[in-house]
Amino acid sequence: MREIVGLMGVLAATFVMLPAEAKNKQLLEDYVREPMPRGFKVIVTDFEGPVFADADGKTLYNWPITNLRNGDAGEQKGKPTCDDHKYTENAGLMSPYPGGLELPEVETRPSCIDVWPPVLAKPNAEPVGKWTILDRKDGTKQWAYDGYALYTSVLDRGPGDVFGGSDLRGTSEAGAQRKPVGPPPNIPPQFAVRTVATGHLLTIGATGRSVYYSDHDAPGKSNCDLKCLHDWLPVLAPETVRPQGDWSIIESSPGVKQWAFRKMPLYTRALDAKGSSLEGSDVPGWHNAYTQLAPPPPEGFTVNDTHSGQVLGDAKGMTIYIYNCNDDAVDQLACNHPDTPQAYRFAICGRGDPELCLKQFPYVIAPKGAKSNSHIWSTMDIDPKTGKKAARNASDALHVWAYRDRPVYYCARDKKPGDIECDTWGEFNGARNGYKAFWLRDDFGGNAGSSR
Amino acid sequence: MQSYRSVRPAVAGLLGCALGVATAQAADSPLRAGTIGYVLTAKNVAIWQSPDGKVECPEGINDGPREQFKTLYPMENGVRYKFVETQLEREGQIWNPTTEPEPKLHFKEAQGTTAIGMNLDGKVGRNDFTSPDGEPGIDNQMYRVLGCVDNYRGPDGSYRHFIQDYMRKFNYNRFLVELTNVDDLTNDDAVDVTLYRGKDPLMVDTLGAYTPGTTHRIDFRWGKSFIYHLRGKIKDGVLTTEPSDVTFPESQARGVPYLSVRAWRVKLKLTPESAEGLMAGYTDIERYYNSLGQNWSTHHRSYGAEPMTSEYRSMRKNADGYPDPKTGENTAISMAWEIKFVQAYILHEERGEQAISSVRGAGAQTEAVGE
Repeated sequence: MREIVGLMGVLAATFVMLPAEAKNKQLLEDYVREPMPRGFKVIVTDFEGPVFADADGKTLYNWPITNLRNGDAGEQKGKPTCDDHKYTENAGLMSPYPGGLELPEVETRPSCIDVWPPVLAKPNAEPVGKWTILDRKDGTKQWAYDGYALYTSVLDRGPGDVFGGSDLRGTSEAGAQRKPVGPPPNIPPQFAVRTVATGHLLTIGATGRSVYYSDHDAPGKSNCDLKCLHDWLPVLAPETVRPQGDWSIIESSPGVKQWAFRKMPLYTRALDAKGSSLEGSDVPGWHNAYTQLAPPPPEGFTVNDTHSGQVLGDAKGMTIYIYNCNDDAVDQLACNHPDTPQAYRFAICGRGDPELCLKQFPYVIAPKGAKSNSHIWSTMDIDPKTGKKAARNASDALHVWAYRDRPVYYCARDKKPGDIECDTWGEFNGARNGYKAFWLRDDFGGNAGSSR
Repeated sequence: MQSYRSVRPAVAGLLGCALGVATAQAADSPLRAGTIGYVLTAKNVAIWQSPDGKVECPEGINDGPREQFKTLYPMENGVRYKFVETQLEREGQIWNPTTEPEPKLHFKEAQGTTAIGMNLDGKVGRNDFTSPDGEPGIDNQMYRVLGCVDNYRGPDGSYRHFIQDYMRKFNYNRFLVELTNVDDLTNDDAVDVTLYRGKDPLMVDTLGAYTPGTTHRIDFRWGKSFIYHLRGKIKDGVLTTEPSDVTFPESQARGVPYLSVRAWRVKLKLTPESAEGLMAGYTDIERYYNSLGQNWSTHHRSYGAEPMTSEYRSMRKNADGYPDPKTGENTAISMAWEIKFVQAYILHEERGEQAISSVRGAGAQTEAVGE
């Protein structure tokens, strides 16, 4: 089942779109149709791709156990721990600071299930395939997928929203984060899909090497000659394989079967030295293959070169920053959303002073009437004094751009396009409580979901 | 800057040059057609240490973040602290440092008159050091700041370990030096020196030693801002370069920061297989400090007991170069690094010389491409 809610394809072609496909719609990742319990469905979201959703269309998440500096957080398979306990102290999982410190806004701090409602199963529900039913400590039953208990996020307001977490690879320094859960991509066994900032990158499963296609080829036909084959290695298909969906097989030379995706022959690049490389796309006419591209940002944003890759910039090229925060309580609640305590961000951006924060990390102001064609980009009104969402029609509210329902920022230290002076700025290199540049590609540092 | 919607592959492709091609052609000398290249294999902040550390650090080694936290917020008498007033207060100070006194913390600056480094201003000043081999006028005020910080002290300071570890693991840090117009590797009064960022890994032999004669490609795609063209000379086998402002990548793999050094220069003993010596200049304090935090989280700095906020105050106090035109306060501090290279063949896949800014007269400052 494929269901697109609230995202109608009016997205312009970007630099990685397969030429043989339609120009005016976002190509979506196909997925394996697995048996699932009644009342659930799959929604192909604009960035995360296919995710499971409940009957209301709310995305499902899990919370896999993660090794942090001073212990583990998250859930083991079969053992849901997210409950109604309201933690008042940090757990001391972030070296070098101790536990036992009273958390910010402790009086109003929600419990885990206030923020992550468990996906409850009816008493007569039956397990189906990878979908199983777990017993919770409060006597209720909870759905699980692949053993991990399932939750929804209060941040998601409607079908297609995935604001609770992302599959984009980060580091464990970011804390134990929730991940959207979805069906596996419908790809042959020798391939894999990796979520990077620009989309769902197609790779070779065993090696992680990127997969490319060429404008020099035609749909269903390889024109890669001997010289071309020196640098570009056809992705060979097993003898007995059959075409299916987006996947077909061409005979690139007598007796040699080569995979094609959306009709275009696939290759790896001999000179790629690391997995999930985008370097081959610098060669004219060659492109990385994606099962699904990330939706482009709203009109006017730009791509800018840095000394390590590319970042998103505003119309003048000034780098856009994302603020990351996960708190240090046992239940590891996010603190990077305007609805969460702002004390974390204010500490990093201005020593606790909101005014200094506005100077050093200004919001990216959105024009009046600015619109986004995707779920992942939006605008919101922010109270600059509190950093929280402004009351409707508040006179001093700032109308700002938001990514994944969180405001994005500038760095006042940046002076020209491509400057990234405030990248990795804050606790644990900007991953735990701090800022990172909006990376689209990083050939060295492992940002943007790529390998290092 | 490109429109997001119009991004297209912008750079010409590789020429299919595989690593090791040039190595296979190695003749008797790697100095060919007046050109020889080197790749950086070791870099350490220059820290002179007396045998027992008592000369430079009579009060001992500095406390790090963990110890400072305990001093500021003692866990006694059942006191309960708030996250905002402790951890976030400390992180707020780290990322927004001031020069206000830290009355409860005591920072120990390195003492004495001996330091490793170079005479950057050609003078022998009141605060200058004497080098271990007796050269006066050594400018290395950063030694005052970092000399008693465990992170930087040999043989096992955490920084010393990790910077070497990531020197090898992380191609972002690849630092290439190419000498051209070299008539003689022992004496030549005018050689050209070009700095590049490479994009290939360092090679080691089975004993773990860096191998001369490997091939390194230049990163013309992203590394243009790290390309500098300098003038130098070789006397008695020692290369020196004229001062120039440079930036170079320095990462512990947690981000991709860089350092900015004014009046940077090298003093390197050259052989056909290696180069070893010092680089020195006036380090931009804000960039150095920010890079430190961007590279090393508080957790990581705790390994080597590195107290950033205290160091910031000391850097600003001991700053000795490049006064701010408005405030008059020095913005840079003299510093030196001990560095080692092995010979390398530098592969010009694309002739990027058009992108290299030229030297504008003797002693002129260079500027980075794209700056």
